[in-house]
Amino acid sequence: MQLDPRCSLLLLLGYLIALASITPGHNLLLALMCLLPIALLLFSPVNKADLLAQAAYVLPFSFAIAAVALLRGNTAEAVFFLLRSYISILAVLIVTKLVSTLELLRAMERLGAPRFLIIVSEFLMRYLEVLRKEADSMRLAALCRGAAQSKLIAASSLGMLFVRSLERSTGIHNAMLARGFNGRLPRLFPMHWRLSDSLALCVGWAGIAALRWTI
Amino acid sequence: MIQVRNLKYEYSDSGPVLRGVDFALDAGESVALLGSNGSGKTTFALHLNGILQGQGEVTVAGIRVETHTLEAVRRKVGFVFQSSENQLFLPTVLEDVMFGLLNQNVPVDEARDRAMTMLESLHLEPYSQRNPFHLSAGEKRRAALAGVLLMSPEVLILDEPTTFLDPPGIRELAVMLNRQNMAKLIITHDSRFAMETTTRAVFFEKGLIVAEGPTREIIDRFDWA
Repeated sequence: MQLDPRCSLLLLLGYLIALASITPGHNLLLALMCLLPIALLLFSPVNKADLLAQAAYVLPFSFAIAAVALLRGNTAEAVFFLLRSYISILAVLIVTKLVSTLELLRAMERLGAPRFLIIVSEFLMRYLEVLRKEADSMRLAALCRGAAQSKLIAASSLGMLFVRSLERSTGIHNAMLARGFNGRLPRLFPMHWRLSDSLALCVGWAGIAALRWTI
Repeated sequence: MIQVRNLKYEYSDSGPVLRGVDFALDAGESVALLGSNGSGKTTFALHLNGILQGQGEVTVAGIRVETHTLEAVRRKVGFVFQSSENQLFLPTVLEDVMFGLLNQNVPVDEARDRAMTMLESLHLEPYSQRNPFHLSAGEKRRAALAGVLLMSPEVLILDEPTTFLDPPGIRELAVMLNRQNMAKLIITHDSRFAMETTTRAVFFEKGLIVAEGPTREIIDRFDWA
């Protein structure tokens, strides 16, 4: 059964709030909360190893907080912080794999996120690939003219990439204007909130709350 | 259909690009805009739907192009840009083709039906749910054209439509364009394509139209083949 993206987003939000509210020392509670995303991961049609690895990208950042605990000599607290941040990111990644980014953005918009932010995110997402192609073609052109270090090329051509990006954004804007763009992107596929979504949200939130505040 | 009188335009970072262009396009007529790079062809075309607004007078279907008439003008003038990647910006081909209609407040269901019919006619139906970036150059060009044709413009402007197309793609595009009854303005360096799709040509040089006449005659006169 496919949940409405808003329902998935609200469930995720509820879980993250509950997880964030766990204070150091409640190790059993944290372990139980960890079981939720791990169970979801096990039963989801996603690449499990990839997601587990990707979630680890957060560790260097959360280590900054964990380091404070380590400096105070509290290793258990440091591990607690690292585990909590890892599990939070894992939960987010699972949801982004199960629901397309576009649907999530649209769900955020329907839930009241600023429209401007959503539109910028949508365009950024779509044109990252175009920018990557631009960067690749510039790198290739430089290599063909005898440049040896691709990293140096990337750094030196960054300014030019910005200029190209500006040109491209002007072109896109012109094309949008030519087709009557009036500042609002049309929404083509309306979301349908069903009874099953309400049920899933109630059960999900109740479950998370029961787990968090009764143990 | 289009009347342009004494059109002048200057970019802030360069000299004058248009130096007083006079031009007329009749309903149903197909005209090629020829001339070397930087001669002002695209700048001129961008004035016809108000993307740029210079000095002089531009009238489309009796409507003078001004800030408050842009919405009406853009319903009349369809513009297929040189870069299809700029033109196709929505996540799926179907959504992109529907974009113009939805901006005209056509109901979503009707827009979707009309877009699917258009995609079928351009043999793009199998790609309706694909990301436009993942299409071939020819398919991208057809998808961009579909989005513009669906708005039923009275004038169709195409900026270098043969760029990135292989010879069969160019032939297919020419056939497709010749089936359209609206007035067409085609900016191109491809003289053969110009002869296949237009009856009249104007030649731009340094921001001015220096010659106009039957397409073949203009191409021969400027040795543009």
